[in-house]
Amino acid sequence: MTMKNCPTEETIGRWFDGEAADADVDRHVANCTRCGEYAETLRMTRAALAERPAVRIENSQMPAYLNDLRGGIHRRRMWGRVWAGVSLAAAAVVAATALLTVVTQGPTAVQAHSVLEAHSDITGATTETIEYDNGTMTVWLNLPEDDMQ
Amino acid sequence: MTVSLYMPIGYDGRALDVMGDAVALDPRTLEDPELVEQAQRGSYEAFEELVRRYRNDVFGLCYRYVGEREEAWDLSQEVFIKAHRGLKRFRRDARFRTWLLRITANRCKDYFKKRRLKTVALDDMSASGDAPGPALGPDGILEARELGEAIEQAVAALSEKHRLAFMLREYEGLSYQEMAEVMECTMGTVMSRLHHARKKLQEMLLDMGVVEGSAT
Amino acid sequence: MTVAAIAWIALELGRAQATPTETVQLSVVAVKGVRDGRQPQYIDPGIPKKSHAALKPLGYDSYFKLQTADIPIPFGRETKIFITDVYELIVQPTGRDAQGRVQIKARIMMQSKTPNAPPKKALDTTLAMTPGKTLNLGGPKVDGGDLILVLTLN
Repeated sequence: MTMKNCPTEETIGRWFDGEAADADVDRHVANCTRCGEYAETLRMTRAALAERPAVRIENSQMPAYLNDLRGGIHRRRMWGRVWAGVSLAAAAVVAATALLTVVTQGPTAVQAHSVLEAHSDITGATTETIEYDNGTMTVWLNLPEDDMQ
Repeated sequence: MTVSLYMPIGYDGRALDVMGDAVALDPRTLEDPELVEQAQRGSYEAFEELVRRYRNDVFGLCYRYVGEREEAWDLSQEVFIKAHRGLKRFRRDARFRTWLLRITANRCKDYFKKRRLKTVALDDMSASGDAPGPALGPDGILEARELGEAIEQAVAALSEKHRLAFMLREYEGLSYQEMAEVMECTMGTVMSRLHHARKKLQEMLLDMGVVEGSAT
Repeated sequence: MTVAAIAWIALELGRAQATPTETVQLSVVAVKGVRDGRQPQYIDPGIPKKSHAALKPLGYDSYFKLQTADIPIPFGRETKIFITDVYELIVQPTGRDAQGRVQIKARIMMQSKTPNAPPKKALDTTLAMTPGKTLNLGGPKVDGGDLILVLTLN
């Protein structure tokens, strides 16, 4: 039965959303074909959407998400800031000399790492691979003394 | 599992002494206003807890705008970056979630302006007879396409302001007052846009034969 | 009023989610090595003990923790790991060799001092890493010392 004096569909929408509790609308929707259909459409839509798979960032993805975010925040901070912290000279030569220790490998139960390739885009820099007595492998960047990067 | 990749830096650019300035309490136990206060004072740990709490609200809204996970991932990151930068301006008497969703909505709108994606308004599609519809089985029952998916596609075809109103209500569960804050409009406008979106969807469901009756 | 029978089919779970990808767990300990003459050798208590053996042979007097991370990294995709506001580590496992070692591309990207200039590859490597063993990448400068990244795949 379609009743007279139907509330507007906006009013039914508000009632459906719980924004305006109204006993009159309750009764009307229960008894009016047209308004009941409209309310049923709203209900069906909401129920159908509730069945949809959730769109989320899972907990397992959070480390990567937070990592990306931190990087993004810091990249923003870099703009307009004078970067005056890092010296790319002096200790490079000392580090290169001190670290140039090559050890012959001893017997190892586990296959060691391999460095298949190592290079740098910094002009004048070199790389070296060092394996220490305790089996630690290190790939080291030797910067030129007067790095003008 | 340690995931700390970051040396916290306060808003003045100085590195925070983690032991000195760090949040004394576990941020997970704090309510939003306290977390926001700590984040405004420079605690990145507190900000990250806010990210943990609201990442799905932001990501979900972004995803429904762009339809693709990777894009939504990047877009939601931009939202949180903007939120981090603007945190000092956030008034703590407002709800943080609402503020964040406003940033999200604005960012998504900007995204579309830049991308110049054409969104075909559903009323345009209806007029041309190109309204989306699922493939119905021989007995007319919706078989081939899941109803929710069909509704989502129809929502995507709504104009931007109507789509946003619908998504904020049906996906984010915001009240009309909260929707007004996010959309930066009056409650009357909220109701009007939401109603328009729902009418368009009803027309679609009628066209599909999912509901019987006549649209008013 | 009747509503046509609604026979919607629930979508299979995870349809909107990313396709599962094989990952390997990478631990990164970022450290600053300093030659400050300190005796005996000082290692920041914040540096995990499992990394000490990898650091001691490098010959610095002091080691200070910069960052730690322990995250799953997917095969075939680059993962960026923020180290400092100057350096990022980008890693991409590409496969496994016959010995079960993980082939992995790892590079340290360095931000330029010049605003808007692109970052440089400070160190670009291709490695075959044995799970459970550590490997160091190092040498770029950080704030009065040298950057050392202690990497472990699990």
